[in-house]
Amino acid sequence: MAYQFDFAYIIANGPALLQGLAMTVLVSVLSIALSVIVGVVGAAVRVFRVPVLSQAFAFYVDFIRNTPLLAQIFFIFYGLPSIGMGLSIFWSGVVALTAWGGAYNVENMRGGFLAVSKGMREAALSLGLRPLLYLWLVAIPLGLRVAIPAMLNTSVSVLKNSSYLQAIGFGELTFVAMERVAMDFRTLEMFASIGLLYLGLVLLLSFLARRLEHRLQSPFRTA
Amino acid sequence: MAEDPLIRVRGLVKSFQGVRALDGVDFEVARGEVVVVIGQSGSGKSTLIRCLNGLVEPDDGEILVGGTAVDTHSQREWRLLRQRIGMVFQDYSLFPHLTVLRNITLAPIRTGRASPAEAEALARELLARVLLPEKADAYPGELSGGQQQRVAIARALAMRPEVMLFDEPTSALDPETIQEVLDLMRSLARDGMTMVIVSHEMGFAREVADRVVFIDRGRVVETGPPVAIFRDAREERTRAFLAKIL
Repeated sequence: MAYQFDFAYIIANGPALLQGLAMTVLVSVLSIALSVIVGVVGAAVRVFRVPVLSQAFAFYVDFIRNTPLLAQIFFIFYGLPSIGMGLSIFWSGVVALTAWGGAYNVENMRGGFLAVSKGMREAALSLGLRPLLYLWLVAIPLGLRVAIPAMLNTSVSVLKNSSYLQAIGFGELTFVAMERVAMDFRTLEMFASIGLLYLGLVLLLSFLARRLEHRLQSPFRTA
Repeated sequence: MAEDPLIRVRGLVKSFQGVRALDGVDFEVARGEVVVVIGQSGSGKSTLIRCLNGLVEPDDGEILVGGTAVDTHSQREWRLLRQRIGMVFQDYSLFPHLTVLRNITLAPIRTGRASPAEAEALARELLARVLLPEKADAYPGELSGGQQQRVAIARALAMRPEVMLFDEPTSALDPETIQEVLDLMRSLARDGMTMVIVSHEMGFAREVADRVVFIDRGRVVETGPPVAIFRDAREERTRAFLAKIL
């Protein structure tokens, strides 16, 4: 018996899927942006060996990278309310994904900072610039240029990992699919659809990152 | 009473992993003087010049700028002093992601020395001075080594320093571009800029220096006008070094 792939079913569920897609995009964009900030700050703290904070970030990175993301999400959503730090489903998701992506971005950006030559720092300081201005005007733009490919990988993972948030009932793309499947058992149509939607999102993200990289590289192309 | 030297160094000591790079150096530079520091690789001359703007923190000794002792451990104090002391590096160290113009205007604007408009006017003036007026919007990667070094000199001059330090400014350059950088330094010297130059360019030293300082094994062996050093060095070590290099 041939399976009848039901396109009409997908179209009928289009609005729900689009709403899930919008939630996925929202939570991912926010988490990616915040995790880049966490990464840059954390890497700067690590590279410049800021006492206490540097050790704190090292511990944070190890902790996140060596525990499962799903456990982290449950800890934030179910665990934190016990100590009065309960967050909504949405913000629990943002915090979990930011913490996860941020840990990887600390390492990505640390590599970027280490690739900036010592001479750049000496040149900036010898002009009488404050260390923080060196960081902002020289080290971050030069370091990002090196770190962007790795950060893109992390960002793609953050986007894909947003599907774990269905486990705490966040209405993103995977959650919508699971909900529909539970009612209609149209598993193939549903999961094929969200697969294609995720693929489209990742390709779009890669395209945007390549554009950014191109822009940051432009001064170097003639070198 | 004679004016205090612009820079005076007494008993400067610096070790790297147990090796004494500077072993009690006394050194001074008068306002308007051009001092060329010579010596073999590893003799301590780069360490000395880097101590003069705080990039290397000495283990012991005194540095006085304009007659005032510097707290060599205070980064804040060095930061303010560096706004008066220009530095030019062997590898130019231009910021590769910024245009030539922005390389030059960055520090004057960000240290509050000049408004963006003033800084740009000064930068264009300096670019004309280093004979690169058409390169304002170029990126460092588009320039030759000699051109990059001239921009680096303009960048340091944009802070209107009282003294310029040059750490082997021509060592990384192709032979044909060395001359354009030396010409620029010559013209700075003619205009009365105080300069401390670590260099292997003996012809240049002989012609431009008011005083030559020979350093060996972390100590000043001999100092004097170029004629005295290059023709009648008193010390055997100086003569041996010059015999090898000339």
